[in-house]
Amino acid sequence: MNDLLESQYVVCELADEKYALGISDVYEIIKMKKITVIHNSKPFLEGVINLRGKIVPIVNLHKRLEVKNYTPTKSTRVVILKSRGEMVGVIVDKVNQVIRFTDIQAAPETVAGIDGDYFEGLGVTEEGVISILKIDKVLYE
Amino acid sequence: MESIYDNPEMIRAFIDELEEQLQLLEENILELECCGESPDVIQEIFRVAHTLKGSSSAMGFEKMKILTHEMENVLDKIRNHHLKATKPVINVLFQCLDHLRLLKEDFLTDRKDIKTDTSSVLHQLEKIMLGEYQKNENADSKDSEESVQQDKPTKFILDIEQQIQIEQAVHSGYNILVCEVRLEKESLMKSARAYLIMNHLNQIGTVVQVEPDILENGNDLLRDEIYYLLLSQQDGKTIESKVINELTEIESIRVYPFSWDMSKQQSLTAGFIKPEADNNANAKTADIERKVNQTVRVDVERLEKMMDLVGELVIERTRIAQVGSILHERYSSDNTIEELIGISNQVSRVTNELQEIVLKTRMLPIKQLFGRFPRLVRDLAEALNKEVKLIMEGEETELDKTIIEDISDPLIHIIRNAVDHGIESPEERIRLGKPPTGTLHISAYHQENNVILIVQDDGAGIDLDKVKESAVKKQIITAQEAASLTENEIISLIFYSGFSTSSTVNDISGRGVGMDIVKNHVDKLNGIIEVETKKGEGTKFIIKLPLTLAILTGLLVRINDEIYALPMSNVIEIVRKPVEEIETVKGQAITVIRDRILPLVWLHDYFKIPRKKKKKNNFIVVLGVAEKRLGLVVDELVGNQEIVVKPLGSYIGKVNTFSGATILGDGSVACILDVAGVAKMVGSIRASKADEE
Repeated sequence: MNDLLESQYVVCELADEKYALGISDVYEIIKMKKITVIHNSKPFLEGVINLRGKIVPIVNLHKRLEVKNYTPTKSTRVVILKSRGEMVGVIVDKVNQVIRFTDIQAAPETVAGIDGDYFEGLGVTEEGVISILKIDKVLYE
Repeated sequence: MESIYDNPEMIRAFIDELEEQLQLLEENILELECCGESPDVIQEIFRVAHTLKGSSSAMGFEKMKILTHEMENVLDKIRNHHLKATKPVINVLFQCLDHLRLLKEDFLTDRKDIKTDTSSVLHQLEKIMLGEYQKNENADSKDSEESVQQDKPTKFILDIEQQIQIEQAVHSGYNILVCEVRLEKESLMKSARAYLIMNHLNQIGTVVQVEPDILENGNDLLRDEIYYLLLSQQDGKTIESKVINELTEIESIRVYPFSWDMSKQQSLTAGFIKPEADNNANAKTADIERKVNQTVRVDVERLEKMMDLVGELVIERTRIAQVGSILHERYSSDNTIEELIGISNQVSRVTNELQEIVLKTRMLPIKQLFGRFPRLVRDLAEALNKEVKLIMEGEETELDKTIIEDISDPLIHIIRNAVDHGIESPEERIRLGKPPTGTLHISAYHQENNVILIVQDDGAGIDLDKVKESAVKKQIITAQEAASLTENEIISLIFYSGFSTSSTVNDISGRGVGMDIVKNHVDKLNGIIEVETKKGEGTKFIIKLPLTLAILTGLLVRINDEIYALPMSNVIEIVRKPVEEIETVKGQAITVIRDRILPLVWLHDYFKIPRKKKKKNNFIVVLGVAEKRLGLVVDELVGNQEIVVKPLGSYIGKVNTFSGATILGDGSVACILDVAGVAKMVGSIRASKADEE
């Protein structure tokens, strides 16, 4: 768990819950833009966007984590992640801050009804517990 | 330390060169076969063998070096008219070519383990060297000896002075003789030996010229045969015995009269050694040739990257223009915006040109592909005992490199079929009142942004009844269905996998795997196939392909509120049909366009988006993919524009209905519909519906 403690995390919100993404996986954070739907593709794929000439797929994390679906607001952001050499964007309702956790605990079998395998662990802060997403798992399985 | 042979760049360069040279070799051997021996062709073949020998020995590729070395020996003999390029010799040359190809393949798979056995072909070459083929050939072709004699003078290139010298000698009653001296193989210092002989001959008469020129490349004499052009009052026999008796290390000498013809001199010499400046025209063509050959090898990956960048530029160009015109509308009186639009236009122009040039760098003349066909057709005809004349047109037509690679298999299949099933045997053709030699016509040309490839034979044509019968037997269709098929529909049956009308399976075709491969490949390239056939008169395959796959002209259409791009190469026409003319047959909407029944598709249904309210008129985009046609009902035509194809990426993976995406002028993304995929999806859903019923 030590290397988890050393790294920084981007904290964002999905349906009023806080999640953390490892900063080394985050390529950039952009504002919501027009998403083109790809019909008959993966169920939680929202579509694709044009990121400076590159086609980047966008994943609907709300659907993936089975929380209430998002409605685009002023604070909605797309976090572009770099995973397995490819860029993939995820939609979050809000990006809060970048932090370092002082204590990280192993994730229990289920976290709020979601399979514990989706999480690296739970980061403890003064304001509460934040689940750290295991990006590879969330995006690919 | 890494050995030079393991350097991947060296190996790649070697393989590239090998491929080029082998292609050249094939072309020239074929020309040798069909047009007979000419110094140009022999010289070219010799040069290829020589180049290959050099590079293979540099790569430490021993087997290839030995083979090419032996080829060189034989070719040298042909070049010096000691040997005629007869059919058996040409066949052996073909064998050499095949073996070289095999060696290349071996080299690619594992350089340490070259499996190809070259001993048989080496043995054949040896036999040629020993003159075995020659004897046989001389026995049954009476004019070969004559032509050997006639071709002799090409060895000597005489300048004006020498010509005058000879002319005078003839007048004074001198004999003009060629002394052909063969030195012993083991003899050392051949040039010195040759020089000695020359001195000796000079005592008997006057040596006008020596070939090879021992005076000029003194230390470099590697050949065993030397020719002296001698003016002497003595006759050939006397000279022969004199030389043999008085000089050592000579294997043989032959002296014969030099048949000399002023008029021939110029034309015959042209190909042998480059003529001096007195022939201006020739010098000029040589200049041009040199220019053509000035090329740089570039890694394909770099070209691809360049293409990507230009693609991005094309997108931004469109966006700048769009933003410019919006600003112009908004602030029509502002001069700066006028200027911006001017700049934008200039950028557009430059981008267009750049795009064109980058596209061109990826283009290769289709000759690369067509070059393989003469050999293919020759071998097929030989194996099937048929006579086939191959006519090729439009070899200079340029096409994207990747497309050329991908279309080669389908074309070969079609050609095989044409020669095997299409063109009849000579006896059969005579019986039918056709000329005994069948004609296979292959042509290529550009039409707008497409390349059209046509393969046409004058053979038996496709027997439609037999196709129907066979399709029923193979349970591709039922007998009932067969009865109601139109001619076009019957023809399209040949593209089903497993279909074959041939009752026998042979090496060449008849296994029923050919035509569906053709179809799949053409599908993949966004191409269209049409077949025209007439029983007894022949078959014509027309393949229409896009020029390039990276940037294509797309038709933008709106389906509900989403914009999709269709490759223009798949669009056959756009029609407007009133609602009344759309009928439903067994749950499938159809319409009739020029007597052809067209199934209609609403993508809305497949994408689960609502169809727009019924309008009076429907836009129908008629799409073609390989031999299939279908009508796509769209809500609006947005326009056509150059689109840059971008992959959806491995995260999304393969989506059947889309071949990629593109970025539109407003920066949004539009999916490019894969027409083959749409056709397949429509077909499979219809099939599953039918099953439910």
